[in-house]
Amino acid sequence: MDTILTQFAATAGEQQDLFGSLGIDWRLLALQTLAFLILLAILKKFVYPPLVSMLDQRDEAVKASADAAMEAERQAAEAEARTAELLDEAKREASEIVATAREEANKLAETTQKKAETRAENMLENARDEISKEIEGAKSALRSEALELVALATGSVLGEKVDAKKDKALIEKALKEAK
Amino acid sequence: MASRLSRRKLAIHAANRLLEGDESVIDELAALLIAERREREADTLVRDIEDQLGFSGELVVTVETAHKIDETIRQQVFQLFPDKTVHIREVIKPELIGGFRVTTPERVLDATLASKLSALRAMKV
Repeated sequence: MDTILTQFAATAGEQQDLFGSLGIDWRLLALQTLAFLILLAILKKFVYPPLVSMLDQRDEAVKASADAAMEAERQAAEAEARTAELLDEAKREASEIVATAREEANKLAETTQKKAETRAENMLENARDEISKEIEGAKSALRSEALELVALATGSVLGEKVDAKKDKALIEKALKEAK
Repeated sequence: MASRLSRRKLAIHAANRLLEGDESVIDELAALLIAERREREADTLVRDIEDQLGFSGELVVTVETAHKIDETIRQQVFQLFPDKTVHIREVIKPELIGGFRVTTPERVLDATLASKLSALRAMKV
């Protein structure tokens, strides 16, 4: 404690030995400062520019990469949107084609059904006509047979009943009508 | 070889001779038909002769009945052809049942019961 107090109780005259007391050599300090400045100048002239340039280039490259990435991302988004749009359009067209095909199939089925119904009706009509004709033919044949039987029966009966006397009366009557 | 005489010429010749009263022409015609093998033409020739006689006023009438007719009926047949000299050929056909059929060269008058029955058969109801 006394040593410290003794030391700090120095006069102004002892101030010049302050650097010395601190261990600082002002000539060395000046030289070091000059060296530092020379170094700084050299660095500034030969090291910092390329370094800064390299850093700038790297910075630009990173920026360019980032821009490219963003651009790629944007283009990917656009492609995705376009793809989605094309897909929607394709789905829409497919739906339309399916709907059209379904409609045409329904129409075809309807037409085919109508044709089949018409054909069936025609066949029924033809069959009815055929049956009617056959019935009429059978009726006609039956009538003819009935007439034949009646004529035969009548002839048979008349042959037995008409004697010469009745025949003479018939002939006289017919001759009167013929006159 | 002499050519065949047509049926029409034969009929005219026969009719003329019959009108003159010469009945031998019938035998001659029969012989001719046999000689020329024209027997199938006999019926047709008879009809042709009757046609020719009809032109001359001599009418041959065929009367077909189911029973034999008497004089009353014959007179009534004569009255059907007042302008002609009628010669009746009587044919009895029981299948006629009743009534009569009078056949002349120009027409047929059918009033038989058999024809009426045939008409009944032919009816289309």
